[in-house]
Amino acid sequence: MKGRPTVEWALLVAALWLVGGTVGLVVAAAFVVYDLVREPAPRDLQVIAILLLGLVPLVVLARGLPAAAAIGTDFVQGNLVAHHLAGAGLALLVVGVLREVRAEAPAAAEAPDAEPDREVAR
Amino acid sequence: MSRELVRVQPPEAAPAPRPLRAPTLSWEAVAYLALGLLAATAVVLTDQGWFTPDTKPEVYLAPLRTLARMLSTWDPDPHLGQPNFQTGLLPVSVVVSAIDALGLPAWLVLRVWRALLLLVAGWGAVRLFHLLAGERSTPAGRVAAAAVYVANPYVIVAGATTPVLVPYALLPWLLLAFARSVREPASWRWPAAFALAFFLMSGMNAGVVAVFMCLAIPCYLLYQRLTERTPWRRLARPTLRCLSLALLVSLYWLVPAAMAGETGEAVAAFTESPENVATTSSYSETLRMLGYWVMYFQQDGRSAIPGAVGYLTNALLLVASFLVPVLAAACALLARARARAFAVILLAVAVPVMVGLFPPTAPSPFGRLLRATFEDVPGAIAFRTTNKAGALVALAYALLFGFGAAELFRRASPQIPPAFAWRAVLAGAVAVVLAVAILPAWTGGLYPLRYLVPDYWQQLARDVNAGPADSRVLLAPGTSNVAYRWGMEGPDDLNLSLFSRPSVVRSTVPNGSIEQTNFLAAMDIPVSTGAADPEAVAAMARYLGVGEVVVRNDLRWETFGGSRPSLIAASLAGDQTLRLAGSYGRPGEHTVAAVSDFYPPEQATQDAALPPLQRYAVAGPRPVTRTEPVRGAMLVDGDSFAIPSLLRLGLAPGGPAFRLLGSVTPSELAASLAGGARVVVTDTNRRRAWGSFQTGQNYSPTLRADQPLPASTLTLFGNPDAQTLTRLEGARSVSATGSGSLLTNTPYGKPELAFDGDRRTAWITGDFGGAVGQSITLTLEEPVDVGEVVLRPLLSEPGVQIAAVRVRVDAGAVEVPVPAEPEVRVAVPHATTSTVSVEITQVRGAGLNPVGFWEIGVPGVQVRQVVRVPQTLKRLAGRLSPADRSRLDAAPIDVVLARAAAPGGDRFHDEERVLDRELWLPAERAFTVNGLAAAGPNLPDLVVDRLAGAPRGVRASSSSRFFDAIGARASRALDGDPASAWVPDGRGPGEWIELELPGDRLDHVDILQTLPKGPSGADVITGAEVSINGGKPFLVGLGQGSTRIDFAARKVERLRLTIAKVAGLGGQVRISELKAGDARIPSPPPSQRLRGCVQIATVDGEPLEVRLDGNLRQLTAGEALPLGDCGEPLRLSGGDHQIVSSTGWLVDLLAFSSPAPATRASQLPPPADLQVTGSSRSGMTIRTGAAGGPYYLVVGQGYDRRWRATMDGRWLGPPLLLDGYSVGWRITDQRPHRFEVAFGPQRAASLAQAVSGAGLVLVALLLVGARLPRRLRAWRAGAPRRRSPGRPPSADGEPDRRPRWLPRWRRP
Repeated sequence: MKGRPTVEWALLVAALWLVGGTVGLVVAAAFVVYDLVREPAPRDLQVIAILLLGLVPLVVLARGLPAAAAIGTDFVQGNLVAHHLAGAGLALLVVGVLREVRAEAPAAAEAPDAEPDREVAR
Repeated sequence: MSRELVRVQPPEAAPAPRPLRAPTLSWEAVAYLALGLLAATAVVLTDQGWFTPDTKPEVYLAPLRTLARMLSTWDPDPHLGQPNFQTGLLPVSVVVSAIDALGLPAWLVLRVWRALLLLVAGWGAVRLFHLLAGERSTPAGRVAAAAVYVANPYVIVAGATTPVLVPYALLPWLLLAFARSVREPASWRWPAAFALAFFLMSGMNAGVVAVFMCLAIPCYLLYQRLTERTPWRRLARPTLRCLSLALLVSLYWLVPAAMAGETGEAVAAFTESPENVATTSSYSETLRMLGYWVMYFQQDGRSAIPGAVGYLTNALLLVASFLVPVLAAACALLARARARAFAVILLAVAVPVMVGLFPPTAPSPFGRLLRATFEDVPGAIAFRTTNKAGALVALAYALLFGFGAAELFRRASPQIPPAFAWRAVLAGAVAVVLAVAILPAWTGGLYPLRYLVPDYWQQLARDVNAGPADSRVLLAPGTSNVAYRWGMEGPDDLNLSLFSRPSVVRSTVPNGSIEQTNFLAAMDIPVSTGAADPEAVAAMARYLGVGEVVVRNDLRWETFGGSRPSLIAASLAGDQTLRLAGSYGRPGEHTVAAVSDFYPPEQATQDAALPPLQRYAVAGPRPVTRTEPVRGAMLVDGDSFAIPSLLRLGLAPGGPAFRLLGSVTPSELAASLAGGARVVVTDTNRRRAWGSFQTGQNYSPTLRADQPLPASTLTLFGNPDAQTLTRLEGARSVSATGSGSLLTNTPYGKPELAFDGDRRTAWITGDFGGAVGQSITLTLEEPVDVGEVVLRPLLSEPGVQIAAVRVRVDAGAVEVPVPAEPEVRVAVPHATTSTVSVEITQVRGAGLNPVGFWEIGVPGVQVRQVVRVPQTLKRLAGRLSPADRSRLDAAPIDVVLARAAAPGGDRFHDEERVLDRELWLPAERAFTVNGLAAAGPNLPDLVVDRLAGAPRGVRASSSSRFFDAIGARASRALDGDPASAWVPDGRGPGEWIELELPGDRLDHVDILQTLPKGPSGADVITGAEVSINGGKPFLVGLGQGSTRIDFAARKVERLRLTIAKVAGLGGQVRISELKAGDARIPSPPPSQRLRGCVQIATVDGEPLEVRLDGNLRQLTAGEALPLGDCGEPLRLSGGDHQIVSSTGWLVDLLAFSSPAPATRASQLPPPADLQVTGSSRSGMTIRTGAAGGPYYLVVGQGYDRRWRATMDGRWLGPPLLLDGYSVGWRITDQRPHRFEVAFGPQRAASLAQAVSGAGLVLVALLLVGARLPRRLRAWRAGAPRRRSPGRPPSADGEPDRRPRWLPRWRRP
């Protein structure tokens, strides 16, 4: 069994705090707890990321769309929930993909599933 | 040839895809063709025939001239010259010039260029994808990557401009070359390819976007390190090679851009702030590749990017665009290619960068770090538009979509229908989502701007270009951003596209030095506001070397707060100094705005009578480069805003050279005085914050010395001592959260006006619905005892009014309602307090109008604001030698003071009602007085009657006049004419009229109240108190018509009638006649010349009496009348002086001159002959003839301390600031000379260009030459060509004959 990825967590918490502020910190903390408790597979993280990103348009639509004559910065500034959802989704996507790729052996880099190493004629 | 089996060695080189036999015309090729056709159709056929510039229009309309401009570090047009930070446009200009050489019309040149860029982008995406996907590269993946990279919301919205699209198109190539470099660390070929890609990205807009693109480099390195475990050391070598070569070929724009850093920072200070940019860059918007702040703004009720509005208002479009990141994430889940890690690293880096400071009110630590960087690191502000990193996100999505599609179809085959079918349906659904997400491209959103330059502009250009090349053409009025009624908009004007002759136009954003921007503002603001004096315009134009002025009536003046064309035309008409030389276009063609409440039909009719362009010839123009005699030059303590006042008062006859004292050293002052210069003390160079949204009064009130001066300012010299400042008496400070307008800087409605005791001036704030939360705070020098605060709110009807406020003193706060009454008394916790603040907590009514307070009364407190003029002369005088000081004391001197008033007599928007000044004079002198003054609020009736020549025996005064109208003064009730009357302000009770009589014995008076003819709402006085000779008043009843008031007979010397009761519906009361014996004050005719002297101010407490040159009609109409001496000249000692204007007068201009201007030499010595014998954009050779005295060599280019000059080979030292804007030198040797003048940085820039050129040659050699020997060897040996590692031979051993532009792929 692999050891706990303490350095990775620390980096993640620092990075999410840096780019997400307090909310980023909370997301990072929640992720660390989730990681500790459930040890999710990288693909699970990606699925959650897709779900979070998929929620963003729903949240925007739920708030209502402005008329063409009434567009303004409030469309964005008034919808911080979408902002945080998208940020969290991106974070999980990045972590999920990087974990998954790093778990793959570099030597098997581009080989198709269950295919032997390719041979080429030189 | 031997064959052997070897195992591919990852990770250094990802295995190349297995090449198969080439199909003749595969579906992939068909897909590319279809994609290219679709893109080209959208690009070329949308808005066919319209010119749709995506960057500076001159790039397409005058490509060769633009190309020539890019080679110079000094750009002489169109803002008087500036360091050129656009030299990076060179590659673009070269390509566009090449396309233009095909003979295509400008609109098609642009479209071909745009289509070419998209083609390059798509092709690059295919190549990059193919490299990164390696064995997993499939046609579906390549096509998907190309499609997503070419067609996405970023390309349509933020990426639609050439400065963004060029780096966007080349980003995949840059990464391709870099990835190859990493895989072949020993090679110089791929670093050379990297450098070429970076060179082609160009350095437009100081290379900001290209630098953003370089973020992909650390992303790729991180990817290599994290996923392939490549040692850093191994990554360092190719990285250094790439960067060093890229640096080498980019020096041609890096060096000039670095040298234009100051100009760039000044531009940045006046344009969008980092906070503005970040108002819309949330994670959600950024992830759907939007968030570009301009897209979310509206001006004049229309969106800045109309085609993109659907992304905010259309649910289908919104969902589709938000599905792009969702699908990209799904593709990441589906994909198996390891390079998906690179794509998400790109996202992880680029998206937070694009989000930047969002939300601007509470940015993340990274956002705060960015903000600090923008503020503190020189040049970093250029990177504030972080949305420009969007290409990285687009590329990441393109790769993820490609990886996903590749995986989706990797094992699917049309030969296995069920599996292929669902995959095809899925892919089709994704394609539909992507197609919807770029729907605006098909519905007119691809080109937010389209126009055709009208023929009349071409005609004007032909006439203008035929004029002398040594003088400029001035485009007036100035603009903030250009907005022509025929469609052209943006920061760049048309003159560079059409004029081959030097031209100048004012932009509110500084381009070049602050000094030249200051000069242009001083000249243009009166023109822009329709209050120009044509003589002043012509005189200032001469300083600029302007020979012709083109007045543009086809501007959308309403977008930048300009004045309508007919007002400008009227202000410039009728003076021979500006002669109308030509009109262009039909009357009414693009000169009329949409009729509205603010622009009624009659104004539209006036504007419709004007042609769109008018060309005026300036009488007696001067060349741009010239000489000006030192003798008679003006040394102005202030800035260029002094010049219009000097010209208006006739104090600058002949247009002498002038220098601003803030730029003068003591030795230069001494030399100038010895050369016959004169001194001008002014109240200009006011310490202000400036805005750039409007061309008129877009600046703050004059600041105190302790108030910080922002970067967005046109105030010169930085040092408060060299600036005009305000100082408060009666309080330490008065501040407010906002004043005037919340949208931009305005000088009117400043907070001090709420405490000045003048009920006709107000603090105003909270327009456009922003009133709640606005507050004003008074901070006192010493605590005072306060138990009550009296508020006099503005009561706009209809509109928004203040409904409740929170009043805070040191002892606590109370929140109280504010009824719609003129005066509201608010009881506050009784105690001593050192601060009083009033915060607006509620409003009532609807509208966009501002609210505010005429007065906020705090017992025992009255605030007075005094303006202190610049102290430069005082500072310099203290450093002069005794002999030089004596020259200064004897030098001609003018003191010119101008009230900060709104243009066009709009008194509600005046910054100042009074002309209270503090100034310093070098020595005791006798001064003649000159100026302009108008009747103002509270001008006493007695003063008007005296000026009108009323008999001395009877005097009539009153408490007030209706709207201060002179025609409603008290004496109109004694003129024997019932049609005229004394009409008090307000409804009546408390108002009084008083007569001073000769002392005749009277026993009654008659009061006549008659209603005026026509519709009226006049009220009637029904009761009044009468006091005789100051005695106890008695109440009398009055009625409409005549009322007799009896009293005990006595000698009456003074009679006062105070209104006690009024009946009616709320109109004005009026006393038509007040008959007291034979007392009469006949009404003089309007043409009556004003008589006698009048006190308009005090100087050091002594009355300043002047004579007004005008008649009663002019006085009554509020016209500013010339004023002059009244008897003895004004004698003032050396040292500090205080001027306080008297009640009732609006002193617009006040000048003290010593000696009198009439006694001064009227003719300036002739300037030395000058001939420019050779010139380039950044330098010139000048020959001068023999001179009659010392002179200034005025180059006519905007001031920059890096200009250099030699005279007959001798260095002339650092340049001087001459005529307010120009570089120049003082020449004392009167013999003929040869001058070489050049912009200093050009030498370094030329060197950089040469080095970059050599670097390009090196890059080309590395790219081509390095391979040549090997090929040559192979050719000589007759061997088959060796393939590059990325392009292995086909598996079946057959030669691969497919074109090189197509990547090698695996057949499904």
